[in-house]
Amino acid sequence: MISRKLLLIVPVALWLGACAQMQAIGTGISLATKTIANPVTRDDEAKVELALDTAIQVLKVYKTACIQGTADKNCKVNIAQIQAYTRQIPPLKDQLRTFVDNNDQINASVVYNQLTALYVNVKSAAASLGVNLGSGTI
Amino acid sequence: MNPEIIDLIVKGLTLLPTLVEAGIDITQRVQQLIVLSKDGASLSDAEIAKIRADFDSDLADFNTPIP
Repeated sequence: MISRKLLLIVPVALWLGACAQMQAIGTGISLATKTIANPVTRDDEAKVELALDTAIQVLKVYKTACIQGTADKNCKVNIAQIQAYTRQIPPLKDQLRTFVDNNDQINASVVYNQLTALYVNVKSAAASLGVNLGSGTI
Repeated sequence: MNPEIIDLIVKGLTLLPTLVEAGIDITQRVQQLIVLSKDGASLSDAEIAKIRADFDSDLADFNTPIP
């Protein structure tokens, strides 16, 4: 049942992508590359965390289906491959929060750009394994 | 509007309850993202704290090994 739900996420992502105001739900928020001249604000940090969290929530549905035995036969291997990327996120996320809270823009920009690159990698890895995480713009 | 887009909207609306049932809080997520998409809009400290807490929880949950 849940694997069926997972398949249904694809048209929902497309639908949401069609709605300009709700574009971000498909993780379509524009996560532009940051520089010193384009500092990372707390809202920017929230955007990247929301984008990543949306992707993680979809992946959690897939993982739940896998545990319940209703996902595809390769799901355990697929999840392990995606986790290789998602396990890199926690230390970066913690660093970004600290740098943003302390207005350390040099380090915040570096870590922010690393996190957005990881986001792209997570989506690419998931897509190559047949898990659609939405139509992001970054 | 393009009929294909209308069809997708209809499908999306039909499927929203299924996503909610799967544990994805669509309403809250859309509201947060709409706030962030507005020029000059800003999230409160409480909202940012919640985003951080939700992300921490979801990430930790997904990153645990599959039994």
